[in-house]
Parts: sequence; structure tokens; C-alpha cells
Amino acid sequence: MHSKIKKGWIVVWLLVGLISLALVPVVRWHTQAPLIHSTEGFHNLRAAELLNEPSSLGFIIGRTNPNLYHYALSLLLRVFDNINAVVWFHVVLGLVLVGSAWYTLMKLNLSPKLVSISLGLLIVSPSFVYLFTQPIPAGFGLAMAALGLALLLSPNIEKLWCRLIAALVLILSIGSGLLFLVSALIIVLGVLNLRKFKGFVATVMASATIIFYLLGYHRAIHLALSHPAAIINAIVFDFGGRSGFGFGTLVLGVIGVLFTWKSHKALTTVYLILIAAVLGLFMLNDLSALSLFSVLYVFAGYMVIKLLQHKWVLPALKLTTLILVCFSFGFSWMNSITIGIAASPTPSEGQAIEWLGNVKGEGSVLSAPTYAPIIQALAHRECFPDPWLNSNTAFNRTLSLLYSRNLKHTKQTLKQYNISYILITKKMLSGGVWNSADEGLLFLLRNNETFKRVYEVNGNQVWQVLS
Amino acid sequence: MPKLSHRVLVLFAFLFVFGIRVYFAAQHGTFSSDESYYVLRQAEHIKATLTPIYNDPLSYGGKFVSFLPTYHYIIAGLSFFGSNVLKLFSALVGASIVVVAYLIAADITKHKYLAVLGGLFAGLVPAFLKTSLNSLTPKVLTLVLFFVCVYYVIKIEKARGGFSLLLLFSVLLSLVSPIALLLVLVLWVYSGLLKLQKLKLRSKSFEYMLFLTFLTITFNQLALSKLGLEWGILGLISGVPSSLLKQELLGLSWVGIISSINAILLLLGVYGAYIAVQKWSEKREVSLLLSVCIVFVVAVMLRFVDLTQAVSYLGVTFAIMSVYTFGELVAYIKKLKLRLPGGLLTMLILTLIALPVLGFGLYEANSQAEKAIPNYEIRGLLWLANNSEEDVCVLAPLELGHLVTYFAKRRVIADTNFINSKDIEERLRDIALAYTTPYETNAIEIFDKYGVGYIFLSPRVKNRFGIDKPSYVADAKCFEMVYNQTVQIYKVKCTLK
Repeated sequence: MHSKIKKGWIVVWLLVGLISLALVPVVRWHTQAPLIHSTEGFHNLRAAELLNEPSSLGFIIGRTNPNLYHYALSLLLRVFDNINAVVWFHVVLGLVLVGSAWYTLMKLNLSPKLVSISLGLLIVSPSFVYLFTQPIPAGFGLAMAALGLALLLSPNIEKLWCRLIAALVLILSIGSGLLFLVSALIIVLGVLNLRKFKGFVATVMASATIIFYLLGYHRAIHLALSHPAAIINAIVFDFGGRSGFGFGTLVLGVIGVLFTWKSHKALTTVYLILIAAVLGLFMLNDLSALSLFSVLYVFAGYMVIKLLQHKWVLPALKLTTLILVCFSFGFSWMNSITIGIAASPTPSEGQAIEWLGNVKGEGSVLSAPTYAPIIQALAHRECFPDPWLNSNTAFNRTLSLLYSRNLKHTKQTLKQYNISYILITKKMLSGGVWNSADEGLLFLLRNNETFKRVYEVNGNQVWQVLS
Repeated sequence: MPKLSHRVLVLFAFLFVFGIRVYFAAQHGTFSSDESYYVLRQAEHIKATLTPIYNDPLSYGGKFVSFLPTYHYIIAGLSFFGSNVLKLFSALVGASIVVVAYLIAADITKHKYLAVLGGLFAGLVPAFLKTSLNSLTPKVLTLVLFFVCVYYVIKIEKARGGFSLLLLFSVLLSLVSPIALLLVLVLWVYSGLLKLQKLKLRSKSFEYMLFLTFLTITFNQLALSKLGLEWGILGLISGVPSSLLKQELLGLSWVGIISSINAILLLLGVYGAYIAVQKWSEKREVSLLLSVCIVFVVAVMLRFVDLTQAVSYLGVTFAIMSVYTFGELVAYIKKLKLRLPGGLLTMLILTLIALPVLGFGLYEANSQAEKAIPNYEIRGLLWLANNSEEDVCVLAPLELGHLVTYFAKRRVIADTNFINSKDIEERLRDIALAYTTPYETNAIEIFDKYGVGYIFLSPRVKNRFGIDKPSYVADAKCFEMVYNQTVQIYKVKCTLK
């Protein structure tokens, strides 16, 4: 009976996971929009493409820090020669995560009900939808770590083939983001209560952070420092995060930690290390930091069960609260799906960028900074600002170009950076960059001696710089 | 002499505060806060179309606004009966804090007569009068509903019923303002404080806490999700630009904060809290009031609420806590073996304490009433509504932003609705520069940038920027005075080519 429940639920969750993950790519594919829709996704895609170029010799020194994930991605592109295959590969990775997490949690003797609900919450989380539909190392590393753990806990680990596969996936996990494995270790050590390993874990965490930092992953430090509340943006999806937790899940998870505190009070040191690691990691990569928080889904699942089991004074209030909880989960999930579907590049933006790719002529393309990696990946043209350089000066120059009404200064800057085309999308015109028709650069475009409109379809425009 | 019932006394206290509010509000036909006119604009739009303005074409040259519209619907409904009813409604809601504070104080201290004084003091907290007198902002109703919920939580903690009413008021609070999220935090901090005392939250309170947590999350997800996703948490915070925040913080120094609560009230409240904490383990509701203080202090530090609003909540909490001090004082007087009748001496001392609180409250009420929008400004703005081009932007300071959009129905560079507004700091700098620059080209550059067609100049504006008029308006080719009463309006005729 017990095994029947297990098998039944895993099939259900794999199916739900598939629906949750496939919804955005299927709708985008149906509307003929590019399946990749995140700046980071395009960035990683371009890195993988560059690795396939003969001149790169496997390195893109000075432009990015390729890790094992990028090599895996470049291999995939070589085999399939289709960027959409990258997205479907990630969907499969998401299912691998669901299956592996199920197996690992069951092996750790958690109740099937708790495992089911926790996985359910994971599947409808904005993080899951984002990480496993976009080419992002965090998703890959997390799936590999989960698979590695599942293999380590499997009875077949005594066999050589299983050990080899486990070693391979764990190396892939480490190579695409060292701290994923460490996070998994902490979770396992925490659950198994192996206190003697705490010192070891702390050492590994410290070394991992230093190595990671030395490798050059020191971005987004300003995020944590700009405002005390800014860090919440990255954690809570409903407050502007790219992925993050739904507000409801986060609240339930925190309540779950508080309610189970007595039973895991002994692990305070482990939790403190985890919190320190997460806060430190936020300065490096917020998506990786979020992955360390994955254990929160188990606590949220625990609280859902508590809510269901608790004998309420007013049963109607119980029902209302449960409906509100479900609504909160569903709302965050729906929002993440809607955002994914409507995100840039839209079908018409994709067409305009494709047109830019086909047009002959040298020079780079100016657009809003969010479009730069998309143009590079889809049109294979140089862009301003160069997304690889990630420089504040270039970013500020772009803003000054987009908002300036000084023709002389604009012409000088365009010449200085060899800009020959300007991509203006419908989103940029309707509040994305400008609010009125004669604001900044739009005012200067009236000058037909300097600018010529060469493309306009569905509100997306391409302007050529004449002199 | 027959002793008056405490219920009659609280009715007198309520009528006194209500009377003060009505008296000062009735002295002027207009409201005292610019924000009231934003509420009125939303209400009028609701009356006309049944929906609030979400895409505001006038604020900041056009932007998306996101908010909980329940209060605006209430005002839209009441506005059918005329503006006097709105003023009465505002006074009624504001004065009702007397009754709510009395109920809480009487419940937790058992000093029913002294609680009347606590209620009266709550109604006269200067910061609360500043936010609420002759004003239509949702902050008034929010504060009252917040303390009504606190009262019912105390009741259910004492297992004395009122659960259905608590649920009703909580739903209403969650629909009116995101401050409901702070009530959730208050409850969680409260349960933490109980834990410290090795006490447990009652089942009903626990269930209520869970219910309210998800209720507020859901309502705010629904109302603010678009804004939250686009702007993040920083957009959802009060959004006050740092330059204004500095001004607010500098303007409200420690002395300012103390006077906003009222120094005497603060002393009485702090001492009351000290007495209450001594009996902490017996009186669990004290922890609830302390939680209110903790949460609002943290909230103001994180800029989730503005300083005046937070001080209002703290002031009302101190007024409630001051009843402990009165109780101690009365008990002390009773112990003294004086020749004077104990009752008379108590009355005398309490009157001596109450008089400065009343005096300061009346002073604040009067100064708030004097801030009512002058009629000559409204006449000037109405002239603009009838004589200017529809898509033009009017140069007016931040404090007059909502007045321009309400009366003149024209675009403004900035108003006090900071959430989801771009380049606030730059806009504020440009407004100041446009009024004060001696250089015509600087001014015209700014006018070109925002499409400004008219300059609004009233005594308030002159006082704000320390000018008689901008020096560049002397150039008659570019600036024409089109309205010249107490207010002057100049038309901008030039652009930079």
C-alpha cells in the first residue's frame, strides 16, 4: 500500500511538473516567440555559442567565465543545432529534479504526505518555472545536485556504474556552481543530524565562497547595499524578483521553521552557517542563494499539513484560510507563467531582431540595455551597451543617449561607439524607456539628415544612423 | 452629587473631540491636505465610471497607480450627499478613536473612569490631528480600524467573544490599507513576546493570526501585484524620495517627534508601559501594545510608513498606556493621609495633567485648520481648467500637485503620490530650479522637458521658494501673465530650438 502511494504520487507530480514547466515554452512556441525570454538566458546561450566557435579554443577569456554548464550547453547546441532544444533540455532537468528530490526525501524517511505537498509547492513556485525553462546554470546545478544525492542514497551506490554516474553529476553540479553541492550537503547533514561534520561543512563553505569569488563571480554587490529592503526583491517573487518564492510559500515556510524549531534546535550552528552563506552568496548571485533556500519548501509543506490537521474552533475559518493559502500559491504561479509568456522578446520583437540579423552592414546596434544580449544572441550583431562588459559607464552612456535631446552630443557618441542601427520596441515606447512621443532620442529622430527609419512592423522600429 | 457613569463620560469625551474636529473643519470650505483632493478625484472617477483611476494621465505626466480602492468607493458613495457630509464623516471617524482607545484602556487596566481620560488623550494626539483633521485620507479610517482589531484581539485573548466582529473589521482593514500587513506582524511579534514569558497564544488568536496573514497577503497580492512585479519592494514602500525623507527627518527632530506625540503624553505612556511590564506575566495584553510600538518603530525605519503616521500609532498606544500611570497616581493619592478630600485632589491633579494635553491638542487642531487650501488658489486653478490647453503641464510645487490635477485637470511634474514614479529626485530638483533660476534658458529647458505651458504662482509657492516671482518672467516675449489676482499665472510662449 505504502509503495503504491509513493508510485502514484510521483507520477502525478511529474505530470504536474511537466505541465507547469511546459506551459510557457508551449505558448511562446505557439505564438512564434523565441522560447528563451531572460537576459541571463541569452547571455548563457551566447557564451555557449562562442565556445563552439573554432577561434575560442574553448575559452572566452576576458569576456566571461565559462563553467561546466556552458560546456554542456555548447555540446547540446552542437548536437541539436537549435536553440529551442536548450529550453526543452531544461524542462527535462526540472523533471529530473522532481524525481530525484522525491527519491531523496523519501529515503530520508519523511512522510509521503509531506514529500508530496513539498514537491507540489516546489513545482508551482516561480523559481522552478524560471530556473527550468531558461538556460541558467543555477537550474542545471540544482538538478545535478539532487540527482547526485539520490544516487548516493540509492542501494546501487555499491556498484561501480552508479558511483561513476554519481561522481559525474556531482562534478557537473560543482562545476556549474560550487555551492549547490554544499547546500545539498548541509540539508543532508541537517536532516541526518551528523553534528560531527559541522566543522567540515563550515570549512567547505568558506573555501567554496573564496574560490567562487576568486573566479570572478562578484556581481550585484550593490543590490544588497542599495536599500535594506532590496534583498527582499530577490527573495520574494511577488515583490519584483525574477524568480524567488511566492509570498505565501515564504510566509508558510518561515512559520514552519518557527513551529518545528524545538525539534531541530540542536542544528542552530548549521542554520547560522546556512544564513551566513546565503547572505554572502546574495552578493555574488541571487539565484544561487535562492537555491540554498530550497529546504523552505519542506517547511512550507509541513505547515500545510499542520493547517489541515489542526482542529480549528471555527471550521469555516479553516476552510477560508486554506482557500486563501491555495490562492496565494496559485496567484504567484499564474503571475510567473503570465510574465514568462509576455516577456521580451515578443514575436514581433523577435521578427525585428531577426531582420537586424539579416541586414548587411557593419556597426553595432543601440537599444535598451535589456535587449542587448537578445540582439547579440539572435541577430549575432555587436551591441551597445556590450552585455559582456557589464560596465556602469556604458550603461550610463546608453541612458544618456536614450534620454538626450542634444543632437551634437548624440551624434558624437554614436560615432564614438560605431553605432549604425537603433532598435526601438513597442515596449520601450510605452513606458519602458519613454513616456511621451518627443522625449529624449525620439525628439532627435525627427532629424532626417541623421536618422532614417528602415523597418517598422507592429510598433517595433529600426532606425539607421546616416552620419 | 450623583456620579456620572463612565459610559456617559466617554460619550462626552467623544462629543468634545468630535466637536473640535467639526468646529475647525467647518471654518473653511476646503480640506487641509492636498492628498484629500487625490481621494476626491478618485471618488469622482468612481462615481462617473464605477472604477478608480489606475492609469493616471495627469500624475507625473502619466503613470500606472496601484492601490486598495475600498476607501475611495466609500468616499464616492458619501460624496453623493455633499462635501459637508464628507467633512462630518472624517470628523466622526477621527473622533471614534476616543471610544476605541477607551475600550482598550478600560479592558486592560480595569480603571473605567480613568480610561475615559486615556480615550480623550488618544483623540488629541497632535500627530493624529495633523494627519486627520479636515482631511480625507484613508489613514484616519485605517488607524481606527487597526485599534478596533487590537481591541477585539484582546477580547478573544480573554475568551470574551467578539470573534465574528474581529473577522469583520479585519477584512475591512485589509481592504482599506496595506497597514493590515503591519497588524499581522504585530500579532507575530506578540506571539513571540508571549513565548518569552512561556505563555501560549489562545487557539482562536492563533487561528485568527493565520487567517489574517493569508487574507492580507491575498488582498495585497491582488491589488499591488502589478506594481510589485514591476517596481519591487522599493516601489511598494511609501516611496518617499530620500531628499524629502531627509527634510521630514530633519524637520521632525527628537523634539519634533516628542511634540507630535505630546511630551506629557509620552512621559505618561512610557511610565505606564514601565508599570505594565512589571505585571507582564499577569497581563498578556500589555505584550500586544508593546508589539504595536516595536512594529511601528521598525516599519518607520524601513520606510514602510511615513514618520507622522507611525507617530500617530505610537501616540494612541501611549495614550492607552498612560491609564496605568493614572491608576498608580490615584492609588498613591489614596494612600496619602491629607486633609483635602481624596477625590478632589485626584480631580485637581488629573485636570492639571489634562489641561496642557488639551491645550496642545487645540493648538494643533487650529494650526491644521489654518492649512486649509485657500479659495484664491482654487479660483486660479479653475481658471486654468477653463482657459488652458488640455494636454498642457502646469508648473506647481509638489505640495500643490493633487490640487492641480483635481481642480485644473492638467498634468503636473510631480505630486505626493510617489509610488511608481520615475526620477522623483530629478523632478523635484527641476521644479525648484524652474522657480528659482535667474536664467531664462534653464527654465525653458525644464519647461520643454516636461511640456510645461503655465507657471502657477500663489503666496504659498512664493513662500515655499522664497521668491516674489521668477526673475525670467520679466521677458514679456516668452512669458505672458494671463491671470493676476492673489494668484498669478504665467503662460510660457517660448521653446528652445
